[in-house]
Amino acid sequence: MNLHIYLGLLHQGEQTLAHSFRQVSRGHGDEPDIHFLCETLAGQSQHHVDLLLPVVQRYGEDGSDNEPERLHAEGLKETRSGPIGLLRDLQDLYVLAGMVDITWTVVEQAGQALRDRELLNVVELCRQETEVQIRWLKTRIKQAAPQALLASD
Amino acid sequence: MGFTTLDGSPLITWEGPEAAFEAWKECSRGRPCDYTGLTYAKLRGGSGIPWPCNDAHPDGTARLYADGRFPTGPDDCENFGHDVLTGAEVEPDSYRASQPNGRAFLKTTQYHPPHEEPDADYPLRFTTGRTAYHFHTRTKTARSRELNSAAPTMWVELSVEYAAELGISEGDIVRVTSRRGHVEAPARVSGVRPGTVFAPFHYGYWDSNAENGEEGRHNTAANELTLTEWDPVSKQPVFKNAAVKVERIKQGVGPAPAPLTTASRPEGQRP
Repeated sequence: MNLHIYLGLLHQGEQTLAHSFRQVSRGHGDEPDIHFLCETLAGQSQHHVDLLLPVVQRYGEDGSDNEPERLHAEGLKETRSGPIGLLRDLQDLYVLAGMVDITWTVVEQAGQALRDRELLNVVELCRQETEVQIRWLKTRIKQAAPQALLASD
Repeated sequence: MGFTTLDGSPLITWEGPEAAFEAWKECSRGRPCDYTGLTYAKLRGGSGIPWPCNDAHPDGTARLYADGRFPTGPDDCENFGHDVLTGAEVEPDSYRASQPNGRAFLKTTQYHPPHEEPDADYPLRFTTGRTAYHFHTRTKTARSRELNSAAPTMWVELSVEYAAELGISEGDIVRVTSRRGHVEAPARVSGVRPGTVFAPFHYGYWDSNAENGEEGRHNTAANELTLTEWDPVSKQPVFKNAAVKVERIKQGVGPAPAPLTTASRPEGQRP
């Protein structure tokens, strides 16, 4: 069984996303809605990590699967500045959240095949929240884009 | 100003208020708040004509959606709504898939505590609000002698318990400080909830100017103590919650200038 590989990906992905939301929250404090919402969403992703823990303990996890890593998602180590910088940071979060979302999808399929109620309960809550995170990022990116691309230097 | 419609005829065809009102009525035709049935005569005849007021409902509509059908159809609604926690837009396809069919949506979210709560440094909860005698920053109500004299200057409200704890008496001057600013004003010891400080947001910069020697920063603007944050859907600012501390500065010269006829009356005093 290879579920532990995907649980490793998921665990790491949510942790990276939580750190990155926190990084953007700190780096863009002059945008109050970004500051507070990214803080809230960082807490949400951190909560997903906690919810995943009992499942990870049952199946184990493998953070170093044998597949070559072609696309690294290391998260945001620092934030950019200015309107285009904000847009790029939100876009990075969007990509990270998309990674997490598809990983949940894969894990959900395994959970259904295993009829693992505990795993499926965790998936149900976390996938919904991840979906909203992605929608919020898209909403906020749409809001920021015209100003950043056309009106700022 | 020479505005025209696409066929070149003048856009503005009215002169005078009633003709402008007629033109505005036309703008509302067929919309949820259809005013086409309103007239000056009807408005003078009484008060309270709830929209829609049109040919079908000449006297207005006392109760909307009495038939239990709401304008939630994907082709009727003006937007598809938002997630309550984040303000994320609902996408058109997922809205259509929810098949509103005239039903209303009740949206829920989990409880999320405020982003600032009282703590060891700022132990009290601060909330702002209004008094019955003023509107917003008093740009109109302060020009009415009766309204202005009913609530002429700033005060803050403390609970009986907290005032006793700090040795603060009615009318003493106190400083209320948050991480963002402070106000200084006489204290009213009122029926406010223990652990909470109330301040009216009516007093601030509008009536401070060089003529009365109050140039520059003001120490009665209650909203300066609050967080810069807003509700992600409605965009209402978060003016109702902050963490503060209170210090007594000096003895007062009489009771605080807060109205005695409203919730700001001293604790135990009947209205």
